Amino acid sequence: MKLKILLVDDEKDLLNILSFYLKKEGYDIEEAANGLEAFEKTQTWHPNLIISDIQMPLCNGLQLLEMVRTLPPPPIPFLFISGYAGSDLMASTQLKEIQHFISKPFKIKILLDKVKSLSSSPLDIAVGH
Amino acid sequence: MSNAVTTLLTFYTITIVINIAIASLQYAFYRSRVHITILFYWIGILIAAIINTFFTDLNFQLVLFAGTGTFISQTILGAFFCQIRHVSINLKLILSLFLCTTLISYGVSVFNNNFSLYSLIFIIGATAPLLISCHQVLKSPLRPLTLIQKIFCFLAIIMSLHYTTWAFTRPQPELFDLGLIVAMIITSILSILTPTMANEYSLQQRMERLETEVHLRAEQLTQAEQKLWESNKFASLGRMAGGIAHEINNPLSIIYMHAENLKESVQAGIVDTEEVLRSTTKIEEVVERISKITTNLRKVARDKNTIQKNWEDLQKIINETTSLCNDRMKISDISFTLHSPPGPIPFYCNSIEISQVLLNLLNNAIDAIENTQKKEIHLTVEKDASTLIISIEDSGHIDPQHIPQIMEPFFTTKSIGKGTGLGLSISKSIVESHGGRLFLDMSSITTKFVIELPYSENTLPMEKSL
Repeated sequence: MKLKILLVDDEKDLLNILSFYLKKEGYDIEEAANGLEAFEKTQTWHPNLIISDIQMPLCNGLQLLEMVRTLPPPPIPFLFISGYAGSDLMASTQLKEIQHFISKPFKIKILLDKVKSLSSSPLDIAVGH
Repeated sequence: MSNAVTTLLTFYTITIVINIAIASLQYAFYRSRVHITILFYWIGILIAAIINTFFTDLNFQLVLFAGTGTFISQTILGAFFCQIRHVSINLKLILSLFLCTTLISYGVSVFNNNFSLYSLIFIIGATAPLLISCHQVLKSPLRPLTLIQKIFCFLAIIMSLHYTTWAFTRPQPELFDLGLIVAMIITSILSILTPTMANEYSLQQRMERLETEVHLRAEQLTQAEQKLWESNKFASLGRMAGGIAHEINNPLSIIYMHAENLKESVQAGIVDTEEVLRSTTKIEEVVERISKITTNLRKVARDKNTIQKNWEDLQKIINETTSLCNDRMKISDISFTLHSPPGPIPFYCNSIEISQVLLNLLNNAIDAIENTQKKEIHLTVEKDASTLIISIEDSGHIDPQHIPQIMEPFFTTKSIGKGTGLGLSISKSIVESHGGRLFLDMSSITTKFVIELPYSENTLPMEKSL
């Protein structure tokens, strides 16, 4: 079965090029422009992995993580991508729990490798709890 | 010695002693060199008076002692006058003249025992220093003489003349007493003049010192103000730095990935022309986005002194400045609205300073509401024939007890590192330097800052040159 990845970013161009690469790798991709949309898609589509930006309008990546954690198991691993390194937000305790983080800008190979390692060791990837 | 002479001499001596006391007191108070000079003068005069009284034989020895006393005191008095007028005393001329007259006088005394003749020669050299000094002062037109100084010059001439008459009055007791009376009058006048002159000088010195100090302080203040301005500018730019980094990193990611895609296709030998075109177009688009940010950033970060007031489009300044805050607002999920009349708004200003004010107010608004429930910022521009009003309203509130202090420098409610407390005070002074005012609209329920600027729509098109 194809691994289902939900891509969340408010940057349309970034979503396009990311999904282009991930689809080429053979993953099943869905896109969401913000946290709220992503949460709805999580509930209906049940992705195996969520790759999300942190700063987004309406509902940011961290709020999305909180909401997804309230869903019944299995827990969905998160991979965060953000260009807002070094900010107050990054210092928040919540963010310290995040194990998988790539800061923008990044090489696509780094993201693909990370996705590959996350999908091959599903036990490792549970975030939090 | 007659009783009258003794009384006169006693008075004379008392006058001198009183002057010594006054000079000492003045020195203790002002600590100025001129008081020391005048102190020495009076001491010299006292010694000369004593010599004059106790040497009764009319010979060269009397002339030498009394005359040298006169020479020293006249030189000191001349030095005093030169000191007061900031002129250097011509010691070379004074000393060589004195030496010459002394030698000539001695020579004459050896060959011709005429007391009046050789003492006159001696006294000319002894009284010259004061006249030379007066000439020195009058020669340099540094500052006009004060009334007291003019009187002093006049008295100096009289005094020198009086000293020369000593050569003829000394041998005749009646005339000598008369001379003593004249000397007393001169000394009395002098004892009024010298402390006044010294005082005048000390006060003037003090005033000059104060003036220099004021200039120095004013300069320091200007420098400090400039530093404050700079630190505030960079503080407010720093507040946006995170947002700007985010705003730039996103397009950079897009460029990165498109470039990788292109490289891979070339390496694989598959070049899809359409895809290449799509990727390069996308790259161009986002590069433009980044360059817009950096351009705006550079505009705000420039040194304000590099540009002068000019005709600028206020609309453009507002757009450029708000674009820098957009990302901070987006991240904090703040809804921002901008209402302004259509078309350019020509306005004579320093664009960097005005954008600095807007940046300060917008940053303050964001800081105030980013962690609140309702997050709204409205920027409104209104204009009529004579006024331009820019109001920045956010959905927050200012604690009423802070309102009287908000415009004061270094007042901040933000945590350390987040605010310098300079934003509003600097903004206020910038707006005021543009002839306007910045104030908190007390009639508004939420926080609303208003910038009111004088504006004229009837500027000549030539002047506008936008």
